[in-house]
Amino acid sequence: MNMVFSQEKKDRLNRLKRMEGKDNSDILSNFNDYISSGGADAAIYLLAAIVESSDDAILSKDLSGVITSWNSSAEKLYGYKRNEIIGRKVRVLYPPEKQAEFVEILKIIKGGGRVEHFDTVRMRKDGTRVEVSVSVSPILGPNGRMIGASSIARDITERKELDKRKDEFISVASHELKTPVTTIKAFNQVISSYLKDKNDPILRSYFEKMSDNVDRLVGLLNDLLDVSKIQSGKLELKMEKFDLDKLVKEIAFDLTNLDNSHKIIIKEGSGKKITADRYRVGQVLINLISNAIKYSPRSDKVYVSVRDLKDGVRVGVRDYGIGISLKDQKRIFERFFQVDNKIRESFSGLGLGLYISNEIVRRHGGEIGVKSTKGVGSTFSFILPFKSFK
Amino acid sequence: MKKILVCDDDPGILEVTKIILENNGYEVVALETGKAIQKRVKKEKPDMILLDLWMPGIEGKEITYLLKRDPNTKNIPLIIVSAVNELDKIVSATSADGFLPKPFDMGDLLGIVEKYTKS
Repeated sequence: MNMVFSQEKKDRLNRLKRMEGKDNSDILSNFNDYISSGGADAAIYLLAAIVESSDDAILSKDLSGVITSWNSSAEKLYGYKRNEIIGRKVRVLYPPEKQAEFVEILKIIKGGGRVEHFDTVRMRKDGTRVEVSVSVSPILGPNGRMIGASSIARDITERKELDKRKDEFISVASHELKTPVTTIKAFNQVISSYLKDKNDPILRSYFEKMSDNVDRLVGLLNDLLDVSKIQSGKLELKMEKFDLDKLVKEIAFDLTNLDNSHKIIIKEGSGKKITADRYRVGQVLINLISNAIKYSPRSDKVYVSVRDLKDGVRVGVRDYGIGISLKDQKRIFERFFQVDNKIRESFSGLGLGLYISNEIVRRHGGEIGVKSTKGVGSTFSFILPFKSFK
Repeated sequence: MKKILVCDDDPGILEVTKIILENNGYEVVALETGKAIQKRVKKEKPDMILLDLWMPGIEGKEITYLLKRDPNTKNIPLIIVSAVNELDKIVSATSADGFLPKPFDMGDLLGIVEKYTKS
């Protein structure tokens, strides 16, 4: 940077240099003071120093996509020296299979938008690919008009490798956990079928309890797997057209067979077919109805309603149970969230069901919500648009 | 009596599958490894094969490939029984005839065996 500084500015600059090594909050608070005290040159120097020392590859380009600045991390990441890349089109960093991305990003930036933390692939000088997370923002000139764009790229090779290892670990762990469960479950069923012909109702009830608990264990394992899929963005939906009323009836029937403490009453019906992931929507229904039963130990009825809306369908599950405070209602769809300790002690579970349900509904382009009064009961409802999308 | 060949490296699962199938009138050939499976299939001529996926030595996917490309064994119904995640996706990339996820219900196991040995 070729700049001529007055003595006063040089002093300010030296003070700034002495600040090196302090944390960013110090630098930033002082930085604002410098701007207000007219230290524009020093401020420019400081900004340039920050950009230069960043671990992220930072570059700027003009509106025609010509690179106008390039920091040290960009040199390291892409392999181009500053003097050989400035003046060239930013497109050289896009591998042939990602050229369409360039047009898309340019369109967003020219429209005044920005691209944030977008995981993609870029090409180094030697032609090798590097996985990066890119943020692109417009740069505005003094008159407020856009004069170019800045691009910040972070090498995510290590993160991706870690994600891959995590996925592999989860995959092996879940396989290893399910294998002994398979043997326990199957032997249990063999013993239960032997006991069918014997007059030993007590022993039979013990095995039924064992069987229920093995199923619960499998359910928990599947929930943990789902959470891991959601977190890594790998929860895929298999869309199909199906009759929602029929699914509600089937699930109500199955749940009543499992636990006849509550009568599940179905009110109304849609009569229309929806396009969604039948298995996943069923999972949401099972979760909401099971919760309604679980959290209303002093009641014996749960109401399920299916109602047509203009663009979709609303499913409601109403119970007359313990209810949820307004404070907890706001957090109930968060991962691992469970209402207070007293309730946690009385009701088992990992606190994942509503988080998973929320994600499933959200991935369908729908919404889930709750209305509840403590001590009176709760109504959970979700809306699925007729034209669900991923 | 229909003959079912079961191949699984987990002795517990192998034993309980054998018990369930034998109790329901099937003859069972149980293999703890897939190493010599091709020879055994040719010798035993089972009516159906239940095959695990992750096994040391040779994997279920490779066994499926070998059995399904051999004219002597390709028409034997082959079902993959596994605890791996997204089994449907994995199996759809093989030429297996179907799949049964672990842990399975006894009813599901008997249902699938009956379905593929009926003809």
